[in-house]
Amino acid sequence: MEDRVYELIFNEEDPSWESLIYQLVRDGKIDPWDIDVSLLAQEYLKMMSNLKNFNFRMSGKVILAAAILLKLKSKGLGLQEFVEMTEAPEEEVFQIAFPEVMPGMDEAMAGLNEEAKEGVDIKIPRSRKRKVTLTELTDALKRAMEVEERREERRKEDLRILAEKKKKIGNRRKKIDIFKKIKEVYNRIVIFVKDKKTNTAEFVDILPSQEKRDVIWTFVPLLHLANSGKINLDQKEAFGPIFVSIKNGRNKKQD
Amino acid sequence: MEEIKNKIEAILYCIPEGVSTRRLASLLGIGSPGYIKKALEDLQGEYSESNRGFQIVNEDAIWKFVVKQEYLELVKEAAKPELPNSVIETLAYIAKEGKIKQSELIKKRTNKAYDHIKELKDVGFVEIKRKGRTNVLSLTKKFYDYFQLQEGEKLNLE
Repeated sequence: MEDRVYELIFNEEDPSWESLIYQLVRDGKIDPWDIDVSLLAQEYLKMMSNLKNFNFRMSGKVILAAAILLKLKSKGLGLQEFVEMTEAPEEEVFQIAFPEVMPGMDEAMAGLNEEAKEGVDIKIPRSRKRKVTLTELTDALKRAMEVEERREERRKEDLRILAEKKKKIGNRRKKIDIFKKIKEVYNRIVIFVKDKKTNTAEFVDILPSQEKRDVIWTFVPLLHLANSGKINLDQKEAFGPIFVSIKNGRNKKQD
Repeated sequence: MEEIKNKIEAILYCIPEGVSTRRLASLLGIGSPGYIKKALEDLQGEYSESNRGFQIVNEDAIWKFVVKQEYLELVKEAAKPELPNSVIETLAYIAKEGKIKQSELIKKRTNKAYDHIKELKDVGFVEIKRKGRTNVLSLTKKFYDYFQLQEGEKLNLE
């Protein structure tokens, strides 16, 4: 029974190992009481000493598995304080695994199996809770207000940092004259076609460099030029080369 | 009757969260919850007369042992409050405002406050009324009785 759980944790690559453990408990194929968590830890240490490299994924898996099993056992023992420290999504599983432990002392007492009774000192009554005092309520208000103040301060600080960042970016940002860029690109095309004695240039031929900024600030003016009817842009296929040709009678530099 | 009272006393001692007369009747194998109620009232009277540090109360049909109000401060360290601190903080926030929109409370106390509201509603300290697109939270009579505040009185830091 234990072997099956160890196999699930150590050998199976199946990411659903956690729900498989719950499934096995739900189906009554394993009983959390029968699984020795310390053996699980020992197996893990053995395995770690055999490994050449640390496997953090495995560590996390083993710790989580041990915690799940411990939680299921703790619930069975009525160690409510421990259980309250964790959320309990597997409530349904617990009810099936330990149907005898229900709210109420009588059933809890009647149901806890003999093994648990012998091994563990079950305290009765369970921890007693008391009324909340007005002083505690006022103290809680103070705490809540402090938290709110801190949150507000943090929010203001975040806004201040954001404003500073925006300012810095704003100062660094160059203003680009698009008309100037259009002229520059047009003149580059004209010079290229004259030099090469051709009518068509490839997009890469008129790039000042392969830098992203230069690519963008060559492409955008090209779109403007094509739109205003000064050049033709031709691309046979998506992501294919772009060919630029100057329209007839327009192969003069612009000033 | 004495034997029944002793049994009830033992059960109440072991179930701090309290128990209903119906459940007591079932635990004791007695068919008449009325008989149990009579025994509980007798027991309550006896505890009250013998002037002890704790008493038997009936809160929303749940009978339980509670420490008397005047000794609550004394046992502060010994026993945990019946609500978690974060829930008390949310309750305190509502008590400061008296009445508050749920959306506003969530803004101040984060999403976790949804669970707190549910818990406070379950214990009967907060009632929720729909108003337009949000809920409005207000305090119940039980809250004012519990903290011995005047109805409508707002909580302040002084």
